[in-house]
Amino acid sequence: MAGFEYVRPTTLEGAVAELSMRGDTAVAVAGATDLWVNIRSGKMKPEAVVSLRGIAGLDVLTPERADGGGLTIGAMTPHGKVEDSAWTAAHFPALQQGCAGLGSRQVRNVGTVGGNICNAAPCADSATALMLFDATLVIQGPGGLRELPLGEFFVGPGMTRLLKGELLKEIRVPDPGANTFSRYIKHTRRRGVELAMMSVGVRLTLEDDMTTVKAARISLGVCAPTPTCADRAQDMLVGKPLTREAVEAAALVAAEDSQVRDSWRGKAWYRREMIRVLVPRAVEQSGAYVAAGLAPALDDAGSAASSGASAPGAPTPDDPGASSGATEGGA
Amino acid sequence: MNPPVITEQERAQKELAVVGKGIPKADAGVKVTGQAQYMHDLELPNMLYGKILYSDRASARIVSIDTSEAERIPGVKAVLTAYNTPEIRFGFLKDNMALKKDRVRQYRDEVAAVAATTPELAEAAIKAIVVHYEDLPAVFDPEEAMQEGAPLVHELNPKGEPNKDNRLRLPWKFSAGDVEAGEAASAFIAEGEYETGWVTHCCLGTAGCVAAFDPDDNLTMYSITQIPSLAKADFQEAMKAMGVRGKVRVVLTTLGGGFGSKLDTYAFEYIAMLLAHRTKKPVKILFDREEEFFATSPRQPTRIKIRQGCDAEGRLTFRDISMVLDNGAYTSWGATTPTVMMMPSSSLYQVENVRFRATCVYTNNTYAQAMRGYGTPQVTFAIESNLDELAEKAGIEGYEFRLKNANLPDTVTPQGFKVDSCGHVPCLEAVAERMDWAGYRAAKAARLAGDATGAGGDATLVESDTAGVPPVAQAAWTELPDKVRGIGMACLLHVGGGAKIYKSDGCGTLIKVDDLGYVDVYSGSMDMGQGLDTILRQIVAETLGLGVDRINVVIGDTDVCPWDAGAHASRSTFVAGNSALYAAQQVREQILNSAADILDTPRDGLDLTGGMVVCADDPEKTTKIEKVLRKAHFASAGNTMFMAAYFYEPPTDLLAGDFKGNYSMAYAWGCHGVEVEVDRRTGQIDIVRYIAAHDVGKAINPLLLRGQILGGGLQGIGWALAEEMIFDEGKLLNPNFRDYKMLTALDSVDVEPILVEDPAAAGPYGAKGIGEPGLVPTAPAIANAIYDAVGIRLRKLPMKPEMVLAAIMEAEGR
Repeated sequence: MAGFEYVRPTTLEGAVAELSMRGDTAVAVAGATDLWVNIRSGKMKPEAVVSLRGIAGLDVLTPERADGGGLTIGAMTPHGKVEDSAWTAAHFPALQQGCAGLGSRQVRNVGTVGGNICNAAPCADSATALMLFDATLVIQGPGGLRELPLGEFFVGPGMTRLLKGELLKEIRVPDPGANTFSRYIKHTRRRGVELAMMSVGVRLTLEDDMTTVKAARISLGVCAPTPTCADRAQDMLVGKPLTREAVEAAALVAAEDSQVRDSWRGKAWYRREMIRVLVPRAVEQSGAYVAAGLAPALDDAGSAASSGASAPGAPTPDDPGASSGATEGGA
Repeated sequence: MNPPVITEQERAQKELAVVGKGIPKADAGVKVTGQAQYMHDLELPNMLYGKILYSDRASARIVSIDTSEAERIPGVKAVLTAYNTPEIRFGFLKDNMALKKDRVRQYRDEVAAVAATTPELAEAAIKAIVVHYEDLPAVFDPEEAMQEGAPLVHELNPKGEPNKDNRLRLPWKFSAGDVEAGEAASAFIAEGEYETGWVTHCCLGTAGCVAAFDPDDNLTMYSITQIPSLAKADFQEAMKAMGVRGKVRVVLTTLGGGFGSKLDTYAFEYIAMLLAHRTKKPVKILFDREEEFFATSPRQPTRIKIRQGCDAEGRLTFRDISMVLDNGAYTSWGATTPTVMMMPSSSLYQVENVRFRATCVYTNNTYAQAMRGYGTPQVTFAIESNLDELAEKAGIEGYEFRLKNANLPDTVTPQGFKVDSCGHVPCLEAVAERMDWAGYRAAKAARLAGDATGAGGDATLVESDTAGVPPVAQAAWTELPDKVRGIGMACLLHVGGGAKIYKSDGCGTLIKVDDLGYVDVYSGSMDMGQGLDTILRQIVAETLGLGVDRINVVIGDTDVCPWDAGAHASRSTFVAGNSALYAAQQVREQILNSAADILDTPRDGLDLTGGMVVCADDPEKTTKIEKVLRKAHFASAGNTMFMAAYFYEPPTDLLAGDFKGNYSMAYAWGCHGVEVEVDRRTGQIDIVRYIAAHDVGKAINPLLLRGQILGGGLQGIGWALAEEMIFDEGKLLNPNFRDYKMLTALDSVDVEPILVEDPAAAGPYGAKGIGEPGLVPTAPAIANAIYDAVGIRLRKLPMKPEMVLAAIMEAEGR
């Protein structure tokens, strides 16, 4: 491993100044869970590493109100903090699930939400989950702050609209409003220490009639060069009554529109098929059908009663408990 | 010398004090506190760091190697290639060389090596070496490699004679009875082709060594080998090739896992020797994780064709197995796994007419080695999957079919195995009982009958008609639940009393007792985490009537410890255990004879128990062992210290010629039962329940034994469902734990062990080996359960969700 200069500014402005001054020779580091791997393997050879760990006030998770509203996430907030937040689990379940299923607990203790977004991997769990909630990024640059919708941030794998010297300061998630249901399903080969083979998030906000869909989001990981939303599919649901048939039709469109591809890590046909299968499951597990009177209430274990999924008399192993977030993991 | 025989009666008469108890592993404390010394911890004064340059192509001629820039780097002490070192050949057929000359045959070929004062400088030097290659034709598919005109991986055999094709000249053929007659007598025949790929051991401690020569050219090799005595012989032979006269000593550090990966010596060890001898300094080579994945040798991949038949009553009539094995570019123990695959092929279940053929083929892939089970998991996948297919054809439920054909005690198998103790039937019954097999089958039949009614099908289905009938036959796929469950089972046969695959299957033990009642046991065997250290303590403690805290086991130093054939074939508890037992019995006799003199009482009334010499005739004379020891040592008449040596060679037949004979002293049986839940929409498999019944003879340490069964089960489940080394034209694409899907703690399945204790007459306290069996029947048990759940027969491992889903979609016509 090559040596490098380690810089540890104490203000965001200071960090921006360091990065601006050093140009391409320096990289910013947050949790270092990816950067260290890349430096050790020789993929990255920065002359300087600008640590953001000395900057106060970036490791924050600030709800708008105790009983709901929006959420502000500091860029240096580790995933584990979101995972452990009962408030987030209650008000933004898909976000909590996305953060809770990332890597291992050890990785989640140091890896940050801001780092996950700025890394811009197509499989970024927290970014894919945040896409559901119309999050806005607050970016600090040499000239001050600017805001950018998360949906416009990603350019390609590892590529963002972050300019030289700019740093992500925080993520603002607006209040999605009452009657909102969300769910994030990470599809993996195993349950732990895993990148998504693909992932699906859904968020539905119902009108007060608890039938008509007011807003719908379907986000996809590893189904395009960046985390994406299935625009055409989600628009199909809006303004119409929530039905299983409508969701299945939207899932099919999301699958058709996706840019899945073949790799040795997973086949395109399989990823596409999983969009079709998991979008309805995510809606099921979000509780939206229950709210709309389309399914019986959740049982104590949090299992959504499905259409007789298990052998009679046998307990269902399905456990979409909010704390796990990895229940779709393969054996 | 014949081993003294302990009779059943003697065993039963004495209540065991230490054997049979779940004593924590001897080195548990040093491991959890970080005091255990792994290869990673070993530093010697003036030590250099070695690093290897590997080929970056699968098949090429080496045009030139320019090492000049590497040599100029300050701190680089040696840069070696095949062109400036003596040739060291190694491996089962001696077709491998420490450093490759003129051509490379696989990506992991060692082309050059350096030694430098720091690992970073060594790395820099490796990068400064420039190799020019000229690509040569390559072949990656073993069946293509067998074709006429396929590129030859080796133009010459090790004797220098031209090779005609890529097939290895190995005599892996076995037959018994008359397969054609058996086939003619069959009412039902099932056939299938099964494929298993590359998986690797995933040792958490990466491989490495330190080679150090003294001024007289004696080599101390700090090693992580599973075969100290045989590795010593290999290194000694290499010394000869190097023209070095000294003697070799192999010293083990703590191993971070073995699983068969350290059953052969590797090029890196010979390279460390070459570097150390050239520089006159100790040289350490330590693999990084990527090297651990691509430069150690994985499980032997197989393509197996199997046919089995039975008569109208369901009795097996014949079994015919042929297979092609991808040997990779060089030959290690992977090429010998057929000799062990013959065992379940010929002798798992009672079948008179058997044929077995295996062809090993050179390819430009990585070369294979030993891994837990040594071929038996692969062939058992074929046998036990195909057995369910045959049972279904015969209209007999799988468990009943197995019981009908199960092995029985006091039989001789077609291969000539003398089966005395046999827990096959008890294991089958234990699994069926624990899983309520009959109840499950009846409930499922009733459910299917119900579904069929709902779907307008045949409402008169009865239990025997619906066993194994795929649900798709009962209802349209859209009407089926997303998740369906099924059960499956598979059995195993493995050597449980050593295996004479070398000229000797023996193990030596030295025991000395000091004046204070402490005992040192020097065993030729070794511990790689399986618990041999603890097992020997228990056996010796039991025999000498002492607590395990008095027993110190010394292993892993060929200057100190006697010869042993190595930790393989699940042999250590049995063979090293017997060796230690018989040595301890000699010491026991010495002590009791001296005690009889010292206490002036007849020998027959004396016993060693609870740290005392117990005198049954005259309880007043009962005395602490150490008092007797001191009196014997310091008495002017006696002056005796108690020591014993024993070399235990199991009286078995060497596996050779027609491959018939009794090559183990005991046979281990087992049965795994599994309930799975298959997600019909994603292809994901959930293990709902996993039962592992094993005939262990006698559990010397139930705690460690459970660990073996749990570990084997989990490793096997990973093999069945998730793990695979993915190669693209010989290049490993996933040399890391991100992309190599070893199961994690979160994936752990609660394997429920059932210990069936049917004592082996020749085993130490009745014990059989159990190191490998836990893994052996995992894949077929799961495959059979998947079939039961969704009616698809998976014949290729791992059974990945994509494969499962594709098969389900095809079966369901969607």
